[in-house]
Amino acid sequence: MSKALSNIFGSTQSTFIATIDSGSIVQATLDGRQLTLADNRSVVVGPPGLPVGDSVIDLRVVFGPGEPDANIGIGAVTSGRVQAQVPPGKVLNQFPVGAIKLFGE
Amino acid sequence: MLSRVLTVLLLSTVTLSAQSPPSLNQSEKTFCGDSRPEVQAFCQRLLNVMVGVRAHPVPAGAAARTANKDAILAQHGVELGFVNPSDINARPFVLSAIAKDLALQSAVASLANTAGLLQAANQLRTDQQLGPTATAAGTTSLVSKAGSSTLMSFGLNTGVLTRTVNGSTATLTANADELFRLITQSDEEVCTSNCTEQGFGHKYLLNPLNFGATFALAQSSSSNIPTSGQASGTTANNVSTAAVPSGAGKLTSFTAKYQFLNRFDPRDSKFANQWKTKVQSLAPDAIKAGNSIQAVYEELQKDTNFKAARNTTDQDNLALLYAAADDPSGQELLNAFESLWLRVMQTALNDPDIPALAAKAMQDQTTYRKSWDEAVKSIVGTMISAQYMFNKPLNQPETHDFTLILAQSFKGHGTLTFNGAVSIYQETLPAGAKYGRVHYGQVSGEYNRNVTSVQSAYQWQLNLAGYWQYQPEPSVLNIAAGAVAPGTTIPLPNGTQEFVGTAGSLWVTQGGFTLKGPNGVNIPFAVSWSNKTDLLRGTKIGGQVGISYNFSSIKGLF
Repeated sequence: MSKALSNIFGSTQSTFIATIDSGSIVQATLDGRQLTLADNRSVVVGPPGLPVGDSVIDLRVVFGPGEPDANIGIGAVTSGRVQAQVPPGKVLNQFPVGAIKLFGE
Repeated sequence: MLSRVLTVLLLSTVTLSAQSPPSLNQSEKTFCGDSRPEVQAFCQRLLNVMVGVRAHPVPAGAAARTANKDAILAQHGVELGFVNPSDINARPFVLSAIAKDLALQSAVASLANTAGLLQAANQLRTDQQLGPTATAAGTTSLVSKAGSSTLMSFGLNTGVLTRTVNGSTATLTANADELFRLITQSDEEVCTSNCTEQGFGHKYLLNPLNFGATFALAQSSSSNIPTSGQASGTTANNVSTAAVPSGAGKLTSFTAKYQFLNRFDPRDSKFANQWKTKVQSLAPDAIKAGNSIQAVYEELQKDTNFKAARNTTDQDNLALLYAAADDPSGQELLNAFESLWLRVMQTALNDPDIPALAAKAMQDQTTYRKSWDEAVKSIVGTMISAQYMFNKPLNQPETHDFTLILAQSFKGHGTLTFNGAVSIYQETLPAGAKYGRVHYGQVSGEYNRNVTSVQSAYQWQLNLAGYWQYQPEPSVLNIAAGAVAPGTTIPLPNGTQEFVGTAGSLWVTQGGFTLKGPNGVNIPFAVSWSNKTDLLRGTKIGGQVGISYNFSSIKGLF
């Protein structure tokens, strides 16, 4: 994978909130580490922050009937510099799994 | 001259049709109709790549493509991520392709036997009709419920409510959609929620339709055959036909029920608030299904070729994209995808652990899908159910019974069900009939509520019901051909009909419990009081008991 194919990229060790705009996240892990949910659509990427190179936030998501595919974005950035890809990555509304692909440089 | 003009016109038409790319509908048919399981599983996603290159064309020529590689990848990265088998976003589609490819249906089905969560969901439902309705000769249920079995149920019931003749019945009920999926082995849908691919037939015809058949166990079915002569006696009896038993058990009713769900707007704030309460209850299933899909993905990564493909994602994605851009028919994209699939997956699929992991993941996805459907239905509620029943009571004319069923769920406070029904005689009325086509009309209501904690392994459900039936004429009793007229030895060669009982109102009240076990077993028992029965005057106190099994796991048999 590369920066071009990531959903969120930025400086290594950045801490921030990754968001989706549809569905409800019920669990999120980054490299096997359980992440805190700020709310049902926001995941806190706290210290040690954004890993170097490729990494993935693995989501378990419950979508309601009629909810569209979710767009991946970023909320508050507490340290470092991160940016969401344009056009944004998506989490499909037909499955309980989703992934936010990260790239740290 | 004219022929030359026509030739030019014809050639122009042929040239134009050859140049215009196929419509997306045609491409969808080509992709999703492909016989290769991996192409079928990914067909919608491959179509999205075609849509993407039409919306945002890829530059032609190697130099331009190389110069803009990163921009091109970023522009089309979303749709490409879902078609590259080594991409984590393609997990569900890879799983579906594996399930199709390895013909895992039997393994999936046998594992479905352990679908405990679905059983638990059924255990808490207060709206399911698993036995015969009030007018059967062996029944425990005074009011028809709006819901039915998830897949199939079998019930044995004894006791009467409106009938005079006591009996025992066996009832088989089934959902048309689940039966169709079972028979056609088509339960490997590539989705668990918001499944828009299920089509009109599944959504509006099969899914809401339920069937039921009730057999009276104490009656034998019979056939009328001509007699060949009197065997004894000194007086000629002139009996030309006789009824001979042709089987134990007799079909006494057939039921078809269609459920109309309430219309709902997912954007409505009231619905959204109710859905929030469901998210927490669905979370364990979602996590379990997601973890199972991830387990397959992690197992695939043990394969050298699969793992190596994760280092060539950019090149592989670009190859797919350029194939889609260079051939508007989509054929090159299919070939590029097939080539990538074989390179990435061929050796990975030799992993002996993959079939079991994929079967487990499919089972968990199916469980989640059913739980999700149930959650939606429980919020939306059944607006109304329409039921038709063909009734064949013992020694009485056959009837067509039409019932409208309204149910109102009060969430944790039980369900209230109302019935309104009319019963009409099936056959043309015999000459000189002193009764009309209408047999009776009835209204009834029932309240059901679980009275044990939801954590309890056994659920006790309280049932309270009331029933009012009005008959314009007394009940009609068929006296069969060959029967002897009362007080005489004179046989009735053609049979006859007699009124019995009384016209007017029939009231029944019933109270009882249903014990719902964790494995789909339900045991209803109740007592009832009625002011009369269909054939006899005078009050009657009766008891009803039954047992039914809800086969959520019958797929394991196939």
